[in-house]
Amino acid sequence: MSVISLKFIEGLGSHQSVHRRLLDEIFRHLKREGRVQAATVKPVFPGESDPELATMFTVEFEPVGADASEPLRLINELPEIQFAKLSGSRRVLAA
Amino acid sequence: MPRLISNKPQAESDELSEEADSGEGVSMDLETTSYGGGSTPVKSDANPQSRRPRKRPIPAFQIVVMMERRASTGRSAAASPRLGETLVDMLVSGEAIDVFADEVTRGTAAHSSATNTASDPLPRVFAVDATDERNAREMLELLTSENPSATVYVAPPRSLQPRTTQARASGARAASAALPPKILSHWGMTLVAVDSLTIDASQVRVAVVDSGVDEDHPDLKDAIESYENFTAESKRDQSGHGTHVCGIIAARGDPATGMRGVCNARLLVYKGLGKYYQPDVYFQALQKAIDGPAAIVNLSLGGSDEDPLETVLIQRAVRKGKTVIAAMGNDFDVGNPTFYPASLDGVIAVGAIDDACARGTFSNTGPHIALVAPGVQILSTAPTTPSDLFGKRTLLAECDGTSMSAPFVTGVAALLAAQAGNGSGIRAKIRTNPCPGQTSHDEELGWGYLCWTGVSTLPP
Repeated sequence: MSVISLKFIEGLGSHQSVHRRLLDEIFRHLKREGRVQAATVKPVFPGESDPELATMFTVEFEPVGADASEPLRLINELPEIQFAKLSGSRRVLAA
Repeated sequence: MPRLISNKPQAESDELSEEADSGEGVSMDLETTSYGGGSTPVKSDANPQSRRPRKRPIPAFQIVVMMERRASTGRSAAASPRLGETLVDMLVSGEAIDVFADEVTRGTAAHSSATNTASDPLPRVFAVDATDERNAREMLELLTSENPSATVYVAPPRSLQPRTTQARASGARAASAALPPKILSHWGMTLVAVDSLTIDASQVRVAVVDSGVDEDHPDLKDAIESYENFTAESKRDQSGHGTHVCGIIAARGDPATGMRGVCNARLLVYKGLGKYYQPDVYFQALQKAIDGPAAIVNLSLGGSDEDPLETVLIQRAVRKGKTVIAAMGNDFDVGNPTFYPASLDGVIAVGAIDDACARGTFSNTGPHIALVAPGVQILSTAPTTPSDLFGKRTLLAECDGTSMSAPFVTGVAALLAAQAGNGSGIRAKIRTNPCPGQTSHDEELGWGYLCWTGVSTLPP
């Protein structure tokens, strides 16, 4: 499973649901083309009114093979995207 | 032959000096310590060394049994309660010592002319050696139950001070080996000079994003103001990590028998890390910590890849004037990668040191390190039930990691916020001392080690 963290540019007037539909569309397309097996688009803060938070999303997906670069490339090509990156992992730091 | 040493192995017995007259039976309820023969008092040597074992092995722990004496009235000597059976046995075998035996004997001898001694008598104090943590716990329990009128506790260390004149140790374990016993001690609290502070930080809120917390822990339950679980797991701190971190910051227990943290701030705990990492869950917990009422956020967590969403949230915290404190990471031996969020702008990145002020061998380095704090063999709260990190060890356990270092700084930040009456500008108030051999900021130790009475403050 790979996870992309992404954020849309604030202030474009788009609602969170619009951003979500756009991402859903991209991953439906990738699934149809056989480049991902499954994908889940999640607003990090569902229903949030603060634009900074409302524009944050994660997409969990299972790439075909080990290549997660194609979905990432497609998302980064969107003009509304502020950034998209494979999520880093976080863990507790007991030695 | 002195019966006192008869329970010791011969080799060890040979190291001991004559301590008492031999005899049948044991009577410990007399004013002067008598190890046999009923009324025969302990020999009172002018030189205390001569009446104690010359070479007692350094114990891992030492338990103190303290009994108040009743002041004497009229012609009667000051009296102390009867000793428990185990303590008597240990005194006989030499596993325990009567700390003030000399003073007692002197006081008694001088009783007729030195009534001030009798009216304000020293307490009876016995020191009992324990071989390891388990033994110490058992002994503590036993001695407490058998000596109900006594104060029984594990002696906290008083010998650990920054060894500024000593060359920096090459590694945590090597450095620790040469030092006095410190297990079940709170050496970190002593090093950062917060163990005797009385600043009330109960109005300061500290956010902790972690693996959760054991709300039922006796040393923590009064410190936790709120606890939110963002994971799909139960609220239970299965890892045990968050419980340990919370204890370092704000546990409210008795340091003699449990855990007292750096301060008495109120903890707002957000469980954002479960067994499996989920970025959205972590972000939600992080956002709650940042947008909540806490002025200080502790992040004893990290990873080697930057996550821009995390960066945005941390920037948000910095804009809000929050003090964000994060662990440097423990991967020095596996490439020493830059860790996030510790390396993000505005975050106070904390590395780990041992009790010789040497960098913990695991502790990551880098130009972003702000300071170091205790992170090797750190005693703190462990969940009341078995956990991933501590196994069957419950209530109290030791742990290493920069995760343990960050909460020391967080606790001190809370004290500073309490002292100032607000949580702003905390970074510039955090004081440090240089580690041994350190002359300026470096990538291993930052600006030195956290110390309440330190000579420098962190630069902006």
